[in-house]
Amino acid sequence: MTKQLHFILLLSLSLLLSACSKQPPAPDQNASADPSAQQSEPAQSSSPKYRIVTFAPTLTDIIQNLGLIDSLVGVGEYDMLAPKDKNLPVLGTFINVDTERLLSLKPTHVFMLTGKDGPPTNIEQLANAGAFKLFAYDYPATIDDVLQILDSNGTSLAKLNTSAKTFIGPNIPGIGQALDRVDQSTQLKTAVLTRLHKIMQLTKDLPKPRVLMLFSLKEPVMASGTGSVNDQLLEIAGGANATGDSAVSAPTFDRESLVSMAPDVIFALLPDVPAQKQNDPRLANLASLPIPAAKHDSIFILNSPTILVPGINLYQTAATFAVKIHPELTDKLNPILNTPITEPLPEDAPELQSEN
Amino acid sequence: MPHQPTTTSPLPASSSEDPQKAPKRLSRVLVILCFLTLLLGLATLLRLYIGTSDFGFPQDNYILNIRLTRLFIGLTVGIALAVSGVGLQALLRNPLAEPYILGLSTGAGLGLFIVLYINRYTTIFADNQFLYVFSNSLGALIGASASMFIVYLASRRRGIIDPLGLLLTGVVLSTINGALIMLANYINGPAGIRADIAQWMMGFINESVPNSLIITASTICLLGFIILLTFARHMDIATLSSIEAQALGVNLKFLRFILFLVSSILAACAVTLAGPIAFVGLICPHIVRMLLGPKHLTLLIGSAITGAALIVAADTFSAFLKIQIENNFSYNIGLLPIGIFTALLGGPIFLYILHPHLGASDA
Repeated sequence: MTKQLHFILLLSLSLLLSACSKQPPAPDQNASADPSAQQSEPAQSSSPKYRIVTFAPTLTDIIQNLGLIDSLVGVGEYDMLAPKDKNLPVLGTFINVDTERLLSLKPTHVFMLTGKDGPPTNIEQLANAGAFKLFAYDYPATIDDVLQILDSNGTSLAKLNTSAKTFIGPNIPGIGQALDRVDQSTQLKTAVLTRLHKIMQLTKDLPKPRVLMLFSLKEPVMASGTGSVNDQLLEIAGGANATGDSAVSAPTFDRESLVSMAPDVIFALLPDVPAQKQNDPRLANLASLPIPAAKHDSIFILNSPTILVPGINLYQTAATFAVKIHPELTDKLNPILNTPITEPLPEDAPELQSEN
Repeated sequence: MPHQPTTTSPLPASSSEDPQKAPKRLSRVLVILCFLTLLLGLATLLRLYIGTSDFGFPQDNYILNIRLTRLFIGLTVGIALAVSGVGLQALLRNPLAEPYILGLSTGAGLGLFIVLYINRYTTIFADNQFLYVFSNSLGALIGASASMFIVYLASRRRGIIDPLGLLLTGVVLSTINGALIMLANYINGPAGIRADIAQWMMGFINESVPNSLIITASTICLLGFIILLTFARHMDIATLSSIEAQALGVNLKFLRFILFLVSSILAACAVTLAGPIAFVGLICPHIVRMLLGPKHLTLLIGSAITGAALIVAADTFSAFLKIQIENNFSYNIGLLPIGIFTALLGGPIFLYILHPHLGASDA
C-alpha cells in the first residue's frame, strides 16, 4: 500500500514537473503579438498588405507565381512547394486546422481546397466574424477548375477542345481577384492556356497511344482513372487513358489485366523519387510483361515534385507527357517546357484570348 | 451453437463409447471431407476459367501462367491461414484466436513500410535487381518474424509459453506496430507509400512475388501442416487441464512451443504472399468444427481444404465482379481486394460466434 502511494506521488510529481519544465514553443516568430515586431519581418517589409495562409500546394504554387510568396505566413501539411528557407509554420490539413496557431499568425487571407462539404465550420465562423477572408475552392477536377482558382474571370478551356469541358469550379473570386492581382493572374492564365494550346496543336494529328498512368509500382499497380486533371493533360499531350471509363479514381490492376489492357506507354507518376536509370530494376516487373509499352521501352518514371500538383505547372506536365509519348516532337516541345511562364515563348505561339 | 475447444474436449467422454458408432462416424467424416474437396476442386476450376481479363480457359500461355500462379498462391495462403488458426486456437485455448492476433500482420506491415520508404527515396535496393525484386516480400517477412520473436520472448513464464501472456503480448505488440505505421504514414503524407500500405492492408493476392519465394513459402506451409498433423493427438489431449494433459504424457512446454512456432511461421508466409487477409484463420476452423467435430486430425485437414477453397472462391468472385462490371456497365473498376470478400463473409460468422459469449457475461 505504501509502495503504491509512493508510486502515485512520484507519478504526480513527474507529471507536474514535466508540465512546468518546458513551455510549448511559440507558434512562430512571425506570429508575434507585437505589431512592431511584425514590421521588422521580411514578409512584412516586401508585401505588408497581406498575410496569406494556404492549405494546398496548388494554392502555394499560384501565390508564388503571382509574386506574393513573401506574404505567405503559413501553409498546410504536406506542402512540398512551400519555400523551405522560410521555415513557415504548418497549420494542419483543411479538415483539421490548427486554429489557435492560425489565429496567432493574424492572417488576412486564408485559401484552401476542400471537398464538397466546404471548409470546417469553425474556420467559416472565424471568417464570418472578420478574423480573416476565407476562400475555399472545390478540389480541381479539370484544368478549368485550376485556372478558375487563379483567375475567376471567365474560362477558356472550350478552345482547348478536350473531352472534359464541364466547369465545376467555385463560385467565388479567384486568387488574382482576392489579392488585387487581376492583370497578373489573367496574364498567367493566358500564358498557361497558350502553352497548352500549342502542345495540343502539335499533337492533334498524331496517333493517340494508350497510356497507363500509375501512382505506384507496387503490384497490383494503382492507376489514375479517367476524369482527372492528369487525364485531361494526357489528352492534350496526344495520348488516351488506357483505363478507359473507370468507375473509381484509382483502380488497381493485376498482371492479367495489364496484359489484356496492353498499354502502349506507361508513366509512373512518383514525385521526388530517384531518377530513372537504364534498365531500372524498379521497372523490371512491368518491363517483363508482354505488352507494347515494354516492347518499345516506353515505361517511364516521372519524378518531378509537381507532377501530381494541379497548379501553374500544368503546361509542364502536359509537355513532359507529350515528349515521352511523341519523342519526335521533343525539339518543338523543349521551348515550352523550359521557358519560364513569366517569359514569352521564343517562337510565335497560336494566339488565344481569354473568354472574359 | 458452435463447438468451442475450451469447453468441448475432442477426447471421448469415457472408454465405454459404443464401438459400433466409430465406423459410422468415420464414414461421415470421409463424406464431408470429400464434399469439401469437391468444393475446392470446383473453386479451382472456376478460378482457371474466370480471369481478370476475360472468361474462358486461356489459350495464351502467359495468361494461363498468371492464373496458375494466382491459384497456387491462393491455395497456399488459404491452407496456411486456416491451419495456423487451428494451431493458435489450440495453443491459446481460445476459440476467437486467429493468425494475426499475435501482431504478425502489423509487424509485416511495418517491415513493408520501411522497405517501401527505402525504395521510394533511395536506390539502396534498386541498385541491385535481385535485392529489389525480393525487397517487399522480405520486408514483410522480417517484420512478421521480428514480431513473432518479441511475442515469444515476452510471453514465457518460467521457460514455458503462457497462453494468456501470449495473447496479451500479441494484442499489445499489434497496437504498437499499428501506431508506428500510423505515425510513419502521417509523417510521409497522403500520397505514395500511404496509398501502398492502405492497399496492402486490404489483402491482395500478389502474383509478382518471385517464384522462388512462392515455392519456399508453400514448402514451409506443407511442412508446417504435416508437423501439426503429427501433433494432432497431443493437441486433443492438451484441451484438457494442464495437469491432466501432463499426466497423460503430453510435454506441454514442447507442444506449446511447436504450436507457436508453426502457427506463426504459417501466418508469416501467408501475410508475405497476400497481405493480412482477415477471418479465414478464424472462421474456417469453426466451420469445420461444426461439421466434423473437435478432433484435431480431421479439424486440420478439413480446415486446410476449407481455407484454400474460401480464398480461391474469394479471388474468383473478385475477378468475376470486375469482368461483369466491365462488360455490363463499360466501367473499369480494377481488381477488388479479396480481403473484402473474406471479411464480408467472415464478419457475420464472427458475430455469431461472439454473441453467446456476450450473453453469458451479461447473465
